[in-house]
Amino acid sequence: MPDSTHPSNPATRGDLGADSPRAPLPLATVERDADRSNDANAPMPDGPPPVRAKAEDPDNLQSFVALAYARKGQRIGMKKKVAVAIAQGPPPDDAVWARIQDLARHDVLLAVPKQMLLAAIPNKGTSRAWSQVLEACLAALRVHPASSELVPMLLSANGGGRVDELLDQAAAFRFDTIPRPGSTKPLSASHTATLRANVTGTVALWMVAVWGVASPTVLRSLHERVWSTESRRASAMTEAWRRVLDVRDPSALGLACDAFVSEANHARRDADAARTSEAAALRRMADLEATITQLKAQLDQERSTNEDLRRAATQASRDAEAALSHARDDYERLRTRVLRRLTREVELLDEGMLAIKREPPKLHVMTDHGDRALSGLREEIKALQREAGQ
Amino acid sequence: MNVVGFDFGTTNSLISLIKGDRAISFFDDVGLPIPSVVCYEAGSTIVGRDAKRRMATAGLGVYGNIVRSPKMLLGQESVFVDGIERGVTDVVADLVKYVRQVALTSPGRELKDIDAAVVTIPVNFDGSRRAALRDAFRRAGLRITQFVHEPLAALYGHLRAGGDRDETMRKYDRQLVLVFDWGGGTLDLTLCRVQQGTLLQVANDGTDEVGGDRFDEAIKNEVIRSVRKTRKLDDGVQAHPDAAARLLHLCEQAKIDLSARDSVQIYLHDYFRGLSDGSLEHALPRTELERICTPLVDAGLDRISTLLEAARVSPAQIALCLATGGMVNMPVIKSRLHELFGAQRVCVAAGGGAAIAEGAAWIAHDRAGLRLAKSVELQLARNSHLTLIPAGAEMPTEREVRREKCLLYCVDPRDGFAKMQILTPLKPGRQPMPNDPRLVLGTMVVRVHPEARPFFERIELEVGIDDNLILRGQARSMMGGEVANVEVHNLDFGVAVGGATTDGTPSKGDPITAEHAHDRHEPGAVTVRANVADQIEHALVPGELWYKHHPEEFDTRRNPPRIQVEERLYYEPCARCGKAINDPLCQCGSASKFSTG
Repeated sequence: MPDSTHPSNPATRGDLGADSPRAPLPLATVERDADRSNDANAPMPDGPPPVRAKAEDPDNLQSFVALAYARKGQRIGMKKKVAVAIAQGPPPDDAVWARIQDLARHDVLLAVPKQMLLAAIPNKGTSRAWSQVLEACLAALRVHPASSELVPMLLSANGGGRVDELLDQAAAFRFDTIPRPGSTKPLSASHTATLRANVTGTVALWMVAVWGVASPTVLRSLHERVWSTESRRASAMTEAWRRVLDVRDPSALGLACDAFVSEANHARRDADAARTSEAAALRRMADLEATITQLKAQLDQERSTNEDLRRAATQASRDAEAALSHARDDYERLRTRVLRRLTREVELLDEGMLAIKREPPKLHVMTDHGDRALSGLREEIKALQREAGQ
Repeated sequence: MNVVGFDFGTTNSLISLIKGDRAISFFDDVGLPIPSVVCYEAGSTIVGRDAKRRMATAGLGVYGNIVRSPKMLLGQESVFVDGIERGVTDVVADLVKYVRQVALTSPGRELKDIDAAVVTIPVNFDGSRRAALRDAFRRAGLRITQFVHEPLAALYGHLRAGGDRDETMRKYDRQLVLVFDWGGGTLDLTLCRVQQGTLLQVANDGTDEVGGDRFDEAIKNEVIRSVRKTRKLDDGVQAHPDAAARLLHLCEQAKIDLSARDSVQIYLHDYFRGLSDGSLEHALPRTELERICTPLVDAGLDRISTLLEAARVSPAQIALCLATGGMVNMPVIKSRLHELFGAQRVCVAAGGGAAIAEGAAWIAHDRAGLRLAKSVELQLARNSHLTLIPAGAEMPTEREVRREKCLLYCVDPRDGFAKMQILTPLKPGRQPMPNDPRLVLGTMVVRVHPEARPFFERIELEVGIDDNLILRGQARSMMGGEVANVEVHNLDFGVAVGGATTDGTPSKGDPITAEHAHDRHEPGAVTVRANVADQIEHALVPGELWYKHHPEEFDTRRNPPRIQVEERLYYEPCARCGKAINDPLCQCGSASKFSTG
């Protein structure tokens, strides 16, 4: 934000005019039309009577601010052409800012800045006019004891996240201790309440208009930090109804209630959506659990199958090993049997050959041994053929 | 873990192992079981077939530098082999090491290691020899998980390896089976009962007088005698040193060949020394063979009759005669068995020389532990029995001892001794009847004070069966401290086929039970009247003794036991003449005062 609000700015000072000193604004900036709820019953402090707004439209910031303070907190507007005029006009100089600060010092109840903001919001598109109005509001806030300490926070870049904190600080100020120009009496309770409402309202409006915080958020924070505190003071049913029925502008009540109803509806929709989501999540969870159970069963089955296969493989390996051993055993048995048979028959034949070589040859021994050897070999052949047939 | 079956036979030894559903036997390099022969020659130890080839004569024991069937020497500390003293367990260990080595190096069979063995033993192998055998195996680096009798192993293997085991067991359930193991060295007979999946030994017998080698020896001697007679050779003509062993081998071959031929020629080219024609030649017809063998065959088969008669069983009651061993292939023996039992009931074991080893291997495979076939009982006073170890009790395996302990009272210490008898029923079964005949396994007597009152002298009795299947009992007088011991080596065992449980429920019509029911003691046998009880039961005390200490108990209003009243009156001297009440010289008529019932 440009530092155009500084009172030493020569440009702004020139437009303000040295010959137009303004008397301090009256303490009560009573709205005559719709904004009477602020301070309608506030006693009029000392000072000149309210200045009637001129019929012609303001053509610069100075005249716009002057009009606003002349209206003493009553509703004002800003036409498009006024905004264009302010934007096209020269930037306010120090004199202008000094004049604005001077006007603001007399706005004890701080009723004007919010009206300026409300008037300028429709013309936010005309950014130069908007920024000048904001500077004027900040100038007014800086000079007021109840809001001067809030300005740095209002200007901070990340103020959007500090709605509750800022409203807490705004509401916590000891409004009854602020000095009154020209008087030693403290503010009355109703003025204190009006001042608190104006300060918190200006801050809330700033949050919505400048920071872009959503209205329901600010309203909820206002309710929690300011309005509920006030409503707790009227806890009795009669008093509560009195307060409600005393509201001059039911639309304000309706707006606030609409906002809360809207928020409640939104919350209900959110709750419904959440419940729907919860139900869907539960269904999904049940589905997932069923899937997990099914997968577990499948896993168990797979494990069982795997175990069966492993056992079968082990058994097959064992069977194969046993079969190999049996085959080798069969082979060895066969080999040694045939070897035994051949050895025996050869021994017989050897003995027979020795017998036949003797003088005289023992032919009958050879015949016997040869016959036995042949019988043995035939028997072995038969056995082999029989086993091969099996 | 490879637990093998080890047939530590008299003639041959063999290791078998179950692989898959079949037994594999680890024969030697000629495919035969390993001869149980050890030869110590020139500082080296020769075992098996090479040692057998050096044998010139049949028979068991030590011959020169050869030890044939060293297990038969177990029980002796040492033997002199060729003049050198050798420990019998060392000789056995040499044989076991060799058989183990043959198994481990058997071509193609890939046996990596042997951890332990189920070892077969003859039925008459007593406990001390079992212990020595275990020691010998330990020295050879082989643990014995359990012993099993050879015929039982053969029967187990036959039933286990059969086609349908359950069907076979059902077929022979409650039947008697005779296992007839006629090998080269011994003849073993075992009568078994198949009872609900369990093989129970009923009776055993065995001899080494008719082994196959005796046949070969008889043939050899007959051949030599005949040749010498034919050629008119006197005893001065000697045979070559190695020729006798060769002739023995030829006689064995001739014996085998005569199974299929009518006659064979036994011819040895160079047998006699110092003759121009040193050959030995003899024609041996089958008739002559049968003539030579008939006495031995008769002696062997008589053993069957003797066993069956002792067990009061007729051959018709034998459902199966399982014949194993090489001798059962001899036609004359086979035909005699057929005559005795009928061809359908005689079964020659398929495994041949490996049947016993394979049976032991099946027992090792099934972990079929031995179970006590008959209860071990203690005889108590008044002829009642206390079961110490019930039939069916699992026998301890390696390094285990099954112990039972009980406290007894002496009911009648008048003779100064407490007498206890360890008994076993003749009939196998878990629940023997009180009047079943029983065999006395051992008697223990400990000194007690003769003046002690009944039940004042207490005796502690402990019995245990160790892994060598020896039952040891020890009775100790708790007052005097005197100890009496007894050892029993001839317990009977059973084995469950394929892990079935033992159930010795007695069967009706049991021939042994039925015929022995009225025959409590052998005629002329001396029996010991046990005088101990396991609980304080006054009725167990002889009447006259109980009356001495508690006359008030004989008040008829207390209804004293009739037997005690009768005993008191019977042993009370005649009040008039002082003679014993049953003395025929007593004419006082006091005998009419009571009735002996």
